Amino acid sequence: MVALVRNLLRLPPAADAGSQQDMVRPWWARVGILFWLCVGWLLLIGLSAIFADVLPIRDPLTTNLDGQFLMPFTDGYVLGTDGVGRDMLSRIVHGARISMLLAFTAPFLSLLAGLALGMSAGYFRGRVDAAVGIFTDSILAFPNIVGVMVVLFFLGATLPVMILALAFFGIPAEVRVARANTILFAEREFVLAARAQGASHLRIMVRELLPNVIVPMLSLVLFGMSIVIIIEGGLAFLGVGFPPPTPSWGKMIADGFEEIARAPQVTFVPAGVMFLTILSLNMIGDRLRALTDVKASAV
Amino acid sequence: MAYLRKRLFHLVPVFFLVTFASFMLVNLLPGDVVDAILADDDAAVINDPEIRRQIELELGLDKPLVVRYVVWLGDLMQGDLGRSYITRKKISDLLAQRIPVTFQLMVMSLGFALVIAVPLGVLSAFRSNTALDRWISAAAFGIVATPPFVTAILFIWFFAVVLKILPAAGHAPLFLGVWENLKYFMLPMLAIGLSEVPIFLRVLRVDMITTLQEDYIALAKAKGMSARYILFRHAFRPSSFTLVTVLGLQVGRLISGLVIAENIFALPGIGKLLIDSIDARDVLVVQAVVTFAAIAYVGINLTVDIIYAILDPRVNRRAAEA
Repeated sequence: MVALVRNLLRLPPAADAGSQQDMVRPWWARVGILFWLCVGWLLLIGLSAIFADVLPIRDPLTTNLDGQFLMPFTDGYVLGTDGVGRDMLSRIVHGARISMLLAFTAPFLSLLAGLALGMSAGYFRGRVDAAVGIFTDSILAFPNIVGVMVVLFFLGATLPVMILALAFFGIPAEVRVARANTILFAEREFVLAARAQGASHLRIMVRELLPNVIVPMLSLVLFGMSIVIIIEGGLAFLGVGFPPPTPSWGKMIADGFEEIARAPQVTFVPAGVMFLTILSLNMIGDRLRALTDVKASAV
Repeated sequence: MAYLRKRLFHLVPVFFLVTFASFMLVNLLPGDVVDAILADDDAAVINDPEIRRQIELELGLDKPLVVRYVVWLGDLMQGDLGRSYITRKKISDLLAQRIPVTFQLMVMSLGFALVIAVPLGVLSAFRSNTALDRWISAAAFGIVATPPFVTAILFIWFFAVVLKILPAAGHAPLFLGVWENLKYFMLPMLAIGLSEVPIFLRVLRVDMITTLQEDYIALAKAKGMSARYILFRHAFRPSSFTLVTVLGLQVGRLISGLVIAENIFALPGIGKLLIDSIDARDVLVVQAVVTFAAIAYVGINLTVDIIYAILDPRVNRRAAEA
């Protein structure tokens, strides 16, 4: 039991990476059971979001005024009902759609832009580096929730605007890591060799540097996903996200919060789902980073 | 000074880019700017050519974009942000009323975050890779996964609904008494402060572990100095540089947290003003708040750079050599 708890708490994972015994075990055993629980949770959320319409669950918008604030596991409502008797399970499943849709688009766009800018900055240095630095620092001056909120306000709260805004404010983090990793590899022998053979800058960046730079950045995409979910939740909570009928975790939390003294579970169920989702994304990102970290694997 | 000069070369263009972006927000509005500004007024006002011309004149809409930006920036520097077309109040007055509340909340939250993060960070570095270190890391991991508004809700539920010892929302000006004022700030401070703790803790822990491997620490140990003296007298200052830099970069996150907390706890600060103005479609006030937040970010980071140069004089030498 103690061993299990200790294993579950094995954070940060870098602590025991590199030991002799560790090198023998395959990577899927090294990441620990918690990692696979997190993967399982995300699969559950992701698949139920995709198949929300064909799952045998109630309609997320149907109200039931005889069954308000039902506790979980009463009358066949697995997660209970909210203030107007809507099925919480169904609303969570449908709410996952918007979170997952944003999480699987915006961070990847940030990654593309971040790679282009960060690798240019790290490869060319000098003025390009300075210009990219000024650009990313200017983005950072707009706090992400405020930035997305204001862009939605000025350009209209539509899905494409939301995705692009989330992607835009996610760029700085990607740039920083892409730049740092590019600098790490830019003077290595294989790059010099390619240059000596007369490869163009673009070819060197795409063929030689990109494969090395992109691996550690994939864990960053996972952190980006959790940030996107947090921002969407925050905006929906404040009522500046998408209009009301669309179920969203943040909106569910906001609705429940109004009656928190009467029925706290209506707030805590969606909050718990959101917490587990973000925790899973962070956990997987953290383990992947430990696996792909150049320093930890000690070349 | 070489370091600060380098940072200024960086932050001055950032300042212009940021203010230009804020300025452009109003011009990005779909459709006619005057229509957007008069969004909620009745048809008689919207179609009144006199009022329309007055707005166009006040915003200088007849002049080219660059000229308008320079004039706008000049007014901004003199503290003139124009008037809200909805409440007819001077925007600078609106901001001035709200800034003290936001500032108080920000200082209290940062203070709280540091009071929690610094001892825990030092402790988990000192006892790195022990059970204690892992528990602290696990707790930090959990906090990172909790969005700030969920943290706020948990605190409201626990302290205001279950224990009933603190008010759930509201604000009392200072002249009603210090505790009366502070008690409304306690829960927002806890909520924002706690979500800042993990980052500070992690940064300090890593730097501290590196510092503790230095030779002069081994020497101090060999001389028989107490662990506490070594940790706080010898190791803390050289381990705090990243923390100070991160402090500046975290201001953005902090502002996001303030916006959310002020709205949940009904504190009349800048963040509440932002959401209220968005709800009222008060275009110019929204623009002013964003501009203010962005300039505050640049200003705070410049201050952080100055503190950094004082804390670690080596950065000047390094910058001079480069």
